[in-house]
Amino acid sequence: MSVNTIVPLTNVGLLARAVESAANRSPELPGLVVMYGPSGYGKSLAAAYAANLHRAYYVECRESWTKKAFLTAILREMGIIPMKTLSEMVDQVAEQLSRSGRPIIIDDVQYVIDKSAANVLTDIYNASQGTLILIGEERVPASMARLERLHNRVLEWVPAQAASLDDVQELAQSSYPDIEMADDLLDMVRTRVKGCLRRVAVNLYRIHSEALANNWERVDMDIWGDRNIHTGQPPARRA
Amino acid sequence: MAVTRKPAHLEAQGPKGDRQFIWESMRALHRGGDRFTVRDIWLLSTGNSPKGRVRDYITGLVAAGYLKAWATPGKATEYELVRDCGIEAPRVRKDGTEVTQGRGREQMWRTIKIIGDFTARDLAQAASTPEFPVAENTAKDYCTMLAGAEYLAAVRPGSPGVPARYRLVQRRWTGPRAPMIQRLKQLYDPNTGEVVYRRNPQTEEGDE
Repeated sequence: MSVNTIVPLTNVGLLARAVESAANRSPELPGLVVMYGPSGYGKSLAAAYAANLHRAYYVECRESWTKKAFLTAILREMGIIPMKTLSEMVDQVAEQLSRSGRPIIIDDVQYVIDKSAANVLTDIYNASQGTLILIGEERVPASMARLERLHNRVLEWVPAQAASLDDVQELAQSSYPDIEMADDLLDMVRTRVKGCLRRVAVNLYRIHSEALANNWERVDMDIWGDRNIHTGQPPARRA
Repeated sequence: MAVTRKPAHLEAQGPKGDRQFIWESMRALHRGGDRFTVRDIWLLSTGNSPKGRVRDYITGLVAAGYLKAWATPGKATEYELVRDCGIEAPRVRKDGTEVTQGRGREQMWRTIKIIGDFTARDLAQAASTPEFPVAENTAKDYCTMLAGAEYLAAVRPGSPGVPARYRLVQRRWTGPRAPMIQRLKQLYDPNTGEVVYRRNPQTEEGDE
């Protein structure tokens, strides 16, 4: 059994600590945790780790969701047969959350936060006093400011951080232990993609493939030369 | 805001194992304000669970603090549900300790839904916790079986030196209970009660 199989990425640790403190809060404290940040920052990995630590329920919101679709999805995740009315369904969700003490993670919450479906969140929280973890894009705190009843129940705001050099090293080490990637190259990748972890991963994959194709055991800036770094921008048109 | 809230009715989807059936029976009786005996629960199961199995589970629940036993001389012991943890039947042994077998699998099944596309190694890492680490080979077998059952689609097929990348087929997500690999190298889905994939159908027919 390996000693430490957990990738200690910054955002994974940040969310795990916030959920830990929310799950063990004293009863007079509110139970909402909100993690927000641009897409590709590794919020899902953070969600997976926090979910597994606490056996949390997890739902990913969709843009088209109505209140009913939202509640049905949560009950499905809980493995509970939904009752007929919305209010009964809220009671079912709340009952299961407060009885089990398990947190619920609502991902991509930006899709519901500006719509009436957001009231489902308030209702569930009020009825359960459970631990709710909302994860979404950068604008989520601003949208939530308009939902006063939800906003003032936030125990902790967790802004997702751009990838650090440590994060990039960790990812390179754990995904491609067979090739040594030098810090100067890793840091250049990190800067070019502005700390977006998903794009870091794409570039590490390309660096790894290129290294295999050229029989490199080690890659640094000099070896990489002027090869491309994928930044997500379309290539400039040539004159 | 309502001051008194009637407990909502919770019923688990899908086929129920012994524990789940017993647990839901106890919750139903408790909701009606009743205590119950081993015999009450066994009768409710209409003989599907052996009486000894019911008794052992109840013993475990008492030891773990979910049930309180009320003994009256000359009468069968009555039990009361004192810690209701919701719809999911607690997994306890007869001595009250928690059964944690299958936690790695549960973590993988949960993680698959969360992380988008992944290789077996990604899955092993993302699904591991300090208490229940998931080995890469375990994740690899699980991915192969889930892909065989078409629960996962290969985003990028594997080839020598390049691991396959998978993604959950959303409409194939059948429920929260993790499909399990059984000894015959077949995948059983406890959400539907069906065997959804057999790795080697020919040899298996030969075995029977």
